[in-house]
Amino acid sequence: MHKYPHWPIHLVLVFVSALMLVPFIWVFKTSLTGENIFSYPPSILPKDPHFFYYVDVWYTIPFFRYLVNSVIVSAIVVVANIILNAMAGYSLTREFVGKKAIIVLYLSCMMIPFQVTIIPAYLITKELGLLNTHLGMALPVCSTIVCIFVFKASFDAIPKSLIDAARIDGMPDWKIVFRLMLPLSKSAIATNVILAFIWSWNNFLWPLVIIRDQNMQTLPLGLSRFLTVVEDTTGALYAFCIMVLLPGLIIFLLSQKEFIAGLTKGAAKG
Amino acid sequence: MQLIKKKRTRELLLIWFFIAPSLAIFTLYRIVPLLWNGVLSLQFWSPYKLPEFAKLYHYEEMLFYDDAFWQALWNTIILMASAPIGIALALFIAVLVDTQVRGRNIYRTIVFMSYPVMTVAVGIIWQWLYNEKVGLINYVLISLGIIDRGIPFLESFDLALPCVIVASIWQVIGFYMIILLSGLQNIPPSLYESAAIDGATAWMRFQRITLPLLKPSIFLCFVIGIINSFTNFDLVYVMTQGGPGHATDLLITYIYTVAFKLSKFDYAAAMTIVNFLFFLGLALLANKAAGGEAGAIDVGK
Amino acid sequence: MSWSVLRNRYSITFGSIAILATIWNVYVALNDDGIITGTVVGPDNRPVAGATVVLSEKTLLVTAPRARTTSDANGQFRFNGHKLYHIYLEASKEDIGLMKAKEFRLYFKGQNMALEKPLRLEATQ
Repeated sequence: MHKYPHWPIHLVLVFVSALMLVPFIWVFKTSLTGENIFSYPPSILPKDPHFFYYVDVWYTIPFFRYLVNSVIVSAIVVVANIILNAMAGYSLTREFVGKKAIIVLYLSCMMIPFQVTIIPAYLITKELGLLNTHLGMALPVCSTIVCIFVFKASFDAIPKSLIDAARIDGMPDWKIVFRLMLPLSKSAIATNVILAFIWSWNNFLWPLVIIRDQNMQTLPLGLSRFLTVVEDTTGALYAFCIMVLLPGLIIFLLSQKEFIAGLTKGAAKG
Repeated sequence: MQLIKKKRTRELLLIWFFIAPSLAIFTLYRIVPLLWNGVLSLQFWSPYKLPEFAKLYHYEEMLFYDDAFWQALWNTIILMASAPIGIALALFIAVLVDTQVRGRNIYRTIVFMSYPVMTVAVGIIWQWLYNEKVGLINYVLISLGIIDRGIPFLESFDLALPCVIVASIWQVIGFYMIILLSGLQNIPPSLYESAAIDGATAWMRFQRITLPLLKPSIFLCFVIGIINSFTNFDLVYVMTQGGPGHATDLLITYIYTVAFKLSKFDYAAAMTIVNFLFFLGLALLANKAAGGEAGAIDVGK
Repeated sequence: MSWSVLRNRYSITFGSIAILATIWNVYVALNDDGIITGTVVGPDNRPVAGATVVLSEKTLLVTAPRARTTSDANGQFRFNGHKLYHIYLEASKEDIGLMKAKEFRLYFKGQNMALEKPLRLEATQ
């Protein structure tokens, strides 16, 4: 593996990267010029690019409101996830009656994909009066099993001597969790934040099911609705795509290592 | 004695208090819905009156009278069967990225970039790439001289599903690659070196060392592929809404249409149960074939 | 507060975004009085007085006229307080000619705009 010339590998990888990037580049170019919707043949370099499609998107649809909705829901989900998952993770590090049953419960919940639950979840949310609300959108995803196990693994790795010393000093247990163990689990928190944020930001099916009120829609919903209204008659649609892709991309590029580490750890089930 | 007992009780109280919220969420939004789905599927449900017991009416209707259901099931199976293609491609890329080329992190990032972006936007982009008149794919094909006029990819009964599958592979290949990469990096290089000393060629090294040691990762990818085919709602909904006809309907999109556009919650619940049982059976089979826990990840996409 | 917080890549990214957003909003607030000024000239490039200038708004669906004004003795005209971002300007004078609707796109609602090139009336046959 170490005596091979590198340039064929580079060639193939560059080709593959180009294939993976073409959709992004193409939509970015169209959002700047709008020419590939009507004109043919398509060209590679943009002809008189302009930012006016972005202005269109901003004013034609309540982009800012959708953005705010998405941000609020994601914030609720991330904060709730950290708190709930850390607490559950801590409980799983202690021994108690029924622990095995709970672990079996959690593992079986992992086998129930979210999509299987949408109909009754809709009915439950309706009974709780949470249709068309931010909380209703956030509630089903406020805790994820993967992250619970990530926290558990992280808490298990804290040396017992530290915890015992704190206990001897008379710290109540809850303080131990939040003041001692949590700050030592920074990477678990980071993983949790990133995964919870990306999943909640991109979540399409659940808001689609429970939101009827236009003002409460999140970005994916707004994008889909915009698509049905304008179809492909304007470059504004692609400008909208870019505006919607950017936050996810930025967060991903900023936090690649944690993101990938979190996914592989979660995939290997902690 | 008194003090210790009290302390243990306090401790237990705390443990249960800590685990209660997350337990509540999962009970309320996973366990209860699953059971409620089962109950719903055996009822005639209506938002206006009380539900009546229906025995197996919905299952009968679904299995014997509903062609769309069978089409959706078939489409889901096809999507699932295409997972190995994606995994093989991802394996190829992962092996390349794993070699010590310069800038491998950049390649890794670029390939993985398609995963964390919003699926709705991905659907819109691919829908336009496939466009009959101005799509890039038709343009490339025409300028290469393979065809004369644009093909209406997403409106043809035969080509729509493969097109959706290609878009789906594009999106998920980065995820497969990451998993395979981490599996590759767990293989100690000393194994390769001693094999090379023993005279093994690269292909033999790949076959005898890499593939067997990657089996858990590959099966994990396969399980994820199964999960993906049963839950991939966003992409299909945005690209084709399940059309033309039901050519690209997956079980999950058909369930959504029946439940929330036709308001037939009871029938959709029956289909959900079938969907779930199918998925569970396949996932457990894959696990068994992998020889134990390949791990099931909570893909909350 | 430790200064290393500031050098964190998250702080840098989000901080710059916040700063840029603030600067943009300040600029918009200062320039959004909705004033459009320009000149109308005839086919002979001489200013035309008393020409009618119509300001129309274009949404995704329709184009609708919103305001009209006439040019003064020097051929100059002015609109005040519009709140549009995608407009058409059309000028005409009875015996001299008219200029077909010309499209302008602005970066934000009510952006102040001073036309560089005058609106040129073409003689109608």
